Amino acid sequence: MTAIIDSAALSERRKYIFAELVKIISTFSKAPETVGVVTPSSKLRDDIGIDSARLVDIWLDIESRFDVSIDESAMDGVATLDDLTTAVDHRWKGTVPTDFA
Amino acid sequence: MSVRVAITGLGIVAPNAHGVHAFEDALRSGRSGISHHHELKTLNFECQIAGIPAIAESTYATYFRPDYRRTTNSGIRFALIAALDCWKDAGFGMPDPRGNDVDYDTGVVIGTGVGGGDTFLENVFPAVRDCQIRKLGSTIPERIMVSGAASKVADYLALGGHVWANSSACTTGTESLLAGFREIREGRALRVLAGSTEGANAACWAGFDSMRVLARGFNATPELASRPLSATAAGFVPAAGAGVVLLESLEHARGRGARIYAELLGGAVNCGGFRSGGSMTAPGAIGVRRCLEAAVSDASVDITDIDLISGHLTGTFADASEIENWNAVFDEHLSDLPYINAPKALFGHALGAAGAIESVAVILQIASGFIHGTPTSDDILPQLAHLRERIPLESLGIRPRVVAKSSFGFGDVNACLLFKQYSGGIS
Repeated sequence: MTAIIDSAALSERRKYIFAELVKIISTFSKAPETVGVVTPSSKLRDDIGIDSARLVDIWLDIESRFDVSIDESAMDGVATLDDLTTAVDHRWKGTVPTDFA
Repeated sequence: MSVRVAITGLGIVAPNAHGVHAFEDALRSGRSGISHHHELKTLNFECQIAGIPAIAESTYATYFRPDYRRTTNSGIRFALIAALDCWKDAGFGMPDPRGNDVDYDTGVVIGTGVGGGDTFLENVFPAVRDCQIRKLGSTIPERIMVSGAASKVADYLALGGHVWANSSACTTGTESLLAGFREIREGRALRVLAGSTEGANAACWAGFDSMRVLARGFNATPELASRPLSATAAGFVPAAGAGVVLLESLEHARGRGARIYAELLGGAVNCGGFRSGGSMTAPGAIGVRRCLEAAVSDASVDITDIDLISGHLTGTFADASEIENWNAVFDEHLSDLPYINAPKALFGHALGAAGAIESVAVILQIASGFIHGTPTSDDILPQLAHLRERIPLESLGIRPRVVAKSSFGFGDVNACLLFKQYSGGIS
């Protein structure tokens, strides 16, 4: 699974969140070797092969990784990596590490 | 005419070996899979030894999806490795993980005696006790359901027949093979992946340690601890692992040119009804004898055709009565009592997985032509001394033609299978 980020369209902060989210979701794909590239518009279920039940685990990992609290209603309507990025972007109080390239 | 059932694939994760070839080597050489485990000492077990398969994390990573740590426990992992090995051993490939094709002709029955006890101990109980249920996530049910291993196998291999789990204490594995056999014999499936698994589970073993039925006095000499038929037997050695076989319609197996290890002729299961000496922990003689006789009858063999008995034989007081029951079944043919071996001498008692692991051992002995030894029976029970030459200490280069595999379990349950060398033809 290779992450492709459109550098012109995303802020450094969103690029960083996206990259971290790809690390998290890559462990939940049913067939990661078949996924190829993922972009912000990749759909969690159809493009990456994430079982809908695993969204709960992805949320828990995101909460742990970014030290945020995400209520269950925020899960509704999340379909793409960009949706996830937005959810984290709105809640994360941290800053992008200086060594993030 | 009923359908004949062939064994066309094997998968094994045993305490003394992973993989068919390594397992055969271990059986032939009498290699023990029992070792001391510091965790059991830390937990204050009297019995600090166990037979636990040594599977490296790097091995798991080659078999499983990246999420395996949180979607499986040790019993499921052992079963899934054994099943995937078995499937490939039978000549089948892996399906497209994102495709929609399903093999509706193949079922799965993978039983377990206890199931996901380690998941309860390590994940569920602490979270519930600490009111942290939300943090359990989505993966607990699939780890604690008794059919968890069978379901994972169906998922990885896209199998769509009857997919389920059986559970009947220490007869589970033997029973699962019989259940799969009946599915094929009665025409409901072409193939069944049948077997059983048991995780490395101190929470389960603790109850047996407290009962004082686990081996004591051998913590410094673990390879000598499992002593079926021995005068110095001191209880059974807990173990873990999984065995899976591919049962297949003989006609279908021949049609696709499959390698045939052996035939499964038939078998029987029953319960002694907690009467005539039977209890929660001990098998009643009448029930055992009825089960053994029913198995021989179901297999349509003569009692004198049996060349080898692969006993349940755990290293407890029940060993002598197990032999007495076989003596009674042989009756006037007692002089024809065949060779007897006790696989638990090599890798301990894998509880619900025992019958499947030991059936794989039986099939290898038939296919490769040997009878493994029971090395720790060197000081044989005095009342069985006359059977010394029938209970070899080391492997013999003899190919058994018909083998009986018996298992007995808590709840007064009994099971027996009859396997036979395959000699060609389908009629």
